[in-house]
Amino acid sequence: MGLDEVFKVLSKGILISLNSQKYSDEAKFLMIEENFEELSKIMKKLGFILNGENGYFYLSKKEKMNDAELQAFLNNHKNILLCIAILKQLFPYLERGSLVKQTDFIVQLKQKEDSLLEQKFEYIFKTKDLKDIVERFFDLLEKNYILEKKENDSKDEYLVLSALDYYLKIVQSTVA
Amino acid sequence: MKHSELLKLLATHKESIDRAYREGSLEQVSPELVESTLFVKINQRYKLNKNYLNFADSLLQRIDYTVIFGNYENEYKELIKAKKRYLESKDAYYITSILSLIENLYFKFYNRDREIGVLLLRLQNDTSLDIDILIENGADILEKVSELIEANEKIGAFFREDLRGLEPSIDTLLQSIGISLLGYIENIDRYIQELNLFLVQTKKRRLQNKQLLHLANRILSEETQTLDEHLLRHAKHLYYTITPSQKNRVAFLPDERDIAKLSKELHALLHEIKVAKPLKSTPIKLQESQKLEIIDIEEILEGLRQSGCEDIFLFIYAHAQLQTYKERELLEEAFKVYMQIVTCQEVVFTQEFNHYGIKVAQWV
Repeated sequence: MGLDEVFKVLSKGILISLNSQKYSDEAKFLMIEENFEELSKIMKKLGFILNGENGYFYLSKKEKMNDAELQAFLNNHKNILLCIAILKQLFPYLERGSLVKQTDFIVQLKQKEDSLLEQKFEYIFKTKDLKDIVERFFDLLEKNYILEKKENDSKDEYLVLSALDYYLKIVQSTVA
Repeated sequence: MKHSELLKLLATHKESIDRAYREGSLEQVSPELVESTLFVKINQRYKLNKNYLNFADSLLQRIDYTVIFGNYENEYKELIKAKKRYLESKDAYYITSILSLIENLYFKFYNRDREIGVLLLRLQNDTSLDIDILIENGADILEKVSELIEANEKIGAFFREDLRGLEPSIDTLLQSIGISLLGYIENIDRYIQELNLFLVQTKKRRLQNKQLLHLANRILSEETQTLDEHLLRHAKHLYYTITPSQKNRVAFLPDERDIAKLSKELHALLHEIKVAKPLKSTPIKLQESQKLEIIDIEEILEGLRQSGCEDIFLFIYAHAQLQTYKERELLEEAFKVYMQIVTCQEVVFTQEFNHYGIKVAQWV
């Protein structure tokens, strides 16, 4: 594992979590201070900042974003925060390292019967179809590196990645 | 009933007993189970005796949150009484009594330690209860455990100061359980610390969940000014979430300053690098001299003007200007010149063809 390989991953906009099975090599590489410092220097020259905190790593943009970038930046954050709120409403004890099953999610969803929940799903996914919602919900969280399939051939069980704390930190800072 | 008979009874009716343990009560049980007081009839149903349930729960490490720890007051009072009576009468009976009470207390310490350990583990891993209820249970247990500190110290002091030296067999017993007892007493402090930590973490989790829900509702109602401001203010250190392209590349367009910086770096870098260019072995061709021959068409035209012509092609073919050409080349060059000349006004075409197959054109 070298700087180039780690850069290739980070440059795709990936949040690398320490407890990720897929990116464990990259995470371990960045945990070494010298590697982190070296990559950080290079990233600075390219206009990015390499961030590492609480068991996850990501790139942030040094300079100002243009309008399109800003909109994507704000909307992405809001959608993910909504999804995490839904997840925590159904699984109050969920934290990094927890395992969550799609089937349990559906069971909890059906038990809750909360109209606000339905509104939240419609806000993000513009649909009321339960099957569609559940698939897209897990897909969104997986694509944004909050969840990771426990095993490649299993669609049911997911691991909650350390990057969850990135969003919880934002909540703490913005809600009194 | 003898103990061996009790064990036989349990073995004989083990399925009923197991079902009652799991389901809580049975509609019917064998009469001998009721006779033995293992089962008690309450509200038309048969339930296992609480003593048995406590015993089974304790061994199976199933401790309910509502467990009552009790205290050591009874044993303590009995010990004081027994000691006083022994000192008065020196009757060995009271030594036996004291030994038995010490053992009871030891069992209590031992079971309590296990119960608290199990309860703590259960609290820490319980994800089925509502978070508020879990915090309440945790707080209750903390209160009960805290009460034990004083009770433990009281018994410990009594053992050390009031019982030691009373009688050799008592000393032997106290010595054998002393270290374990100290361990159980010290564990209480640790349990209290863990419980406090658990409560702090769970309350933090509860708060976090509430905050998340609050924020989610605000996003839904599009009242996100605070969130937007926070995200914009800290954008420099927040996850760059531009939608990746299909090839999953982060598109970044550097500005002038960055480009200038990069160019400067590259320039400096490249200056230092000396790359030896390998020599190419290319064969050098000598320049060939090309013979340029130009036909003076004017001269041919002058000839035609002066003497006219019955067949322009034949005139050109035989002209001195084309002397250098031979055979096929001569035919081709003559035809080229012919095509140039036939455009002149003075040229008239006939209907005939000469022996070269070229239309006869005359100069008039």
